[in-house]
Amino acid sequence: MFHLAIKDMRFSKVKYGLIAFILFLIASLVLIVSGLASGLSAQNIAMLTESEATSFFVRSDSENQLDQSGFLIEDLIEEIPTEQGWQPLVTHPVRFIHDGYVNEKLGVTMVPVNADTLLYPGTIEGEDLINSSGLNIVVDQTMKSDGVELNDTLYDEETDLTFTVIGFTENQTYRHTPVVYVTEEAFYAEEISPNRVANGLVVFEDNTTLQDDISNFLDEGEWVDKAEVIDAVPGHSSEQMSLNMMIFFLIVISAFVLAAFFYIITIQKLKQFGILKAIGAKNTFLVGTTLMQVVILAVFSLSLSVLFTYSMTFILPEGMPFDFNLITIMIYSLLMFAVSLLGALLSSRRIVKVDPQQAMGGTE
Amino acid sequence: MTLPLEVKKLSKRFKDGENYIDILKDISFSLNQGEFVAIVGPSGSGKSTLLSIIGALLTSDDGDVLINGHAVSKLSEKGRSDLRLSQMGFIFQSAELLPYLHAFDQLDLVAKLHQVDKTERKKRAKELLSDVGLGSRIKHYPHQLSGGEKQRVAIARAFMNDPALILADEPTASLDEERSHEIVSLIKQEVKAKNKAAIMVTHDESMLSYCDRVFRMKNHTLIEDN
Repeated sequence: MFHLAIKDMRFSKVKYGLIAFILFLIASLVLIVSGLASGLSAQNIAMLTESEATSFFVRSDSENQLDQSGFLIEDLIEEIPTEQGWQPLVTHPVRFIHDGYVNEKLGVTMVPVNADTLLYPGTIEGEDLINSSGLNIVVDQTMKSDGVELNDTLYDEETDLTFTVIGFTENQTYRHTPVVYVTEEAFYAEEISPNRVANGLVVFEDNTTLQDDISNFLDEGEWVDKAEVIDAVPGHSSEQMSLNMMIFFLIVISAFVLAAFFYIITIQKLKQFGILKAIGAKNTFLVGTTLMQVVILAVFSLSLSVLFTYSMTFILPEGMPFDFNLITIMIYSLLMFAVSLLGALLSSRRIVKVDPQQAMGGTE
Repeated sequence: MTLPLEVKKLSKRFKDGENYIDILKDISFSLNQGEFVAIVGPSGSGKSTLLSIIGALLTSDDGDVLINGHAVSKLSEKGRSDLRLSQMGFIFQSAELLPYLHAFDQLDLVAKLHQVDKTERKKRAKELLSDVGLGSRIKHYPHQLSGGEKQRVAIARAFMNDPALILADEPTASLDEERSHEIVSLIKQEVKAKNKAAIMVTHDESMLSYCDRVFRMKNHTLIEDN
């Protein structure tokens, strides 16, 4: 079966090569779009997905959007100290001027943290916030593609403050901007915010007593899961939905293109199948050979497109939100493989229906 | 002794509108080993239908065909397929080789389908190809062979699984006269050398001299020439 399939394909190189190429192109598009989808998604919500927080306390009328939610927490901190297991989460948008490039402002999300808590992710490079005081910041490494290096200074026009980059962290982006961590002390000492505020409160393990105490104290809010907060991040659902829609249609298209091609090739070979059946070949052998060809084509094209997509990670500019996620790639590859086989089954019906008697009588 | 082919009171009707038309009526004959017979008749006389029924490609309405003692009418579709593979060799009008296999692989494939082991396959295919005069062209693809050479490959292929019966359906229809004589005499030579029974359907009277017996299709039945 395998040898016959290979010999046929080797003989009709152009025909099968074209199909393989089309499958390769569509599969690459699927994988690249999926890489883009997870890259964009990461840019939008990585800070939340990577966060250790399990539940968020947000305003009831905020539709779970952190940016629409806000509390004054001065009294709360006195009543229920954060040592009991909660932390205020502030997402403060800032537009930095980097090294005097006045026209190119860098949008970031500033998050003041107590560096001893789980809210702070730590650094992968440079110094840690824990040992620092003053206007020092740890920024997400995506800022490197904007030219930001260690010990660079970033100036905020609005507050007239200059911050020094002392370290880099990773996977910390929120709403398509890098997250910038600063100590709470610096944040409030410099009166970036006049009062102690929080967009939301987080806990790192579910604690019913604590959570009930907080909701009783701040009665305009409610506790929601991390997943609900992620879904509510503006743009996230619509972005992902439109990209996933594209992927879905591409997969359907590849199924139909392959099915059509194989159907045509099968029809061209009906006479051969009739002869082979007359000689004594079984349906299982003939269908098996055809499916084998689809398997060979699909494995070949999909492997190539995985390699191609992987090489894209080196070609694409650094700032491009592209994420080569092996698990997603495998899932989509398997899906496309299954769909290709399904498409080829259409041709199998034609093969089974071929009457070997047509081999007799030649053109009669 | 079991005869390679026995045809017993074979009848076949086709439905034409509301009526049935008899194509074959009460046909009986048998073949011995080493016998090469011809069936001649005008087109539409039913000779291809008869060959299809003998070849287990079509079922009869009445009567039966016994190939090497196996009653075709008692077999399932799969059984008929196995019977064709092991007991029959087909030679079609225009060689009908697979375009993507060279001569050796054409033969190798049918033996592989019959699960003959590799060394045996190789030995048989080489022998048969040199028997039909293509010993030096075993790696040639059909498009590199002439019409006569393709038909030679087809003849070799028909003998590959050592069948009891060879069925040739107008094997010379697409060849010129010289080539036709070569091909038919080659079929005869192989049939005699390997002691097989063979039926050739033809409308070319000049080929009949090669055959041991000649049957003519007349009024839906078979009459033997004396």
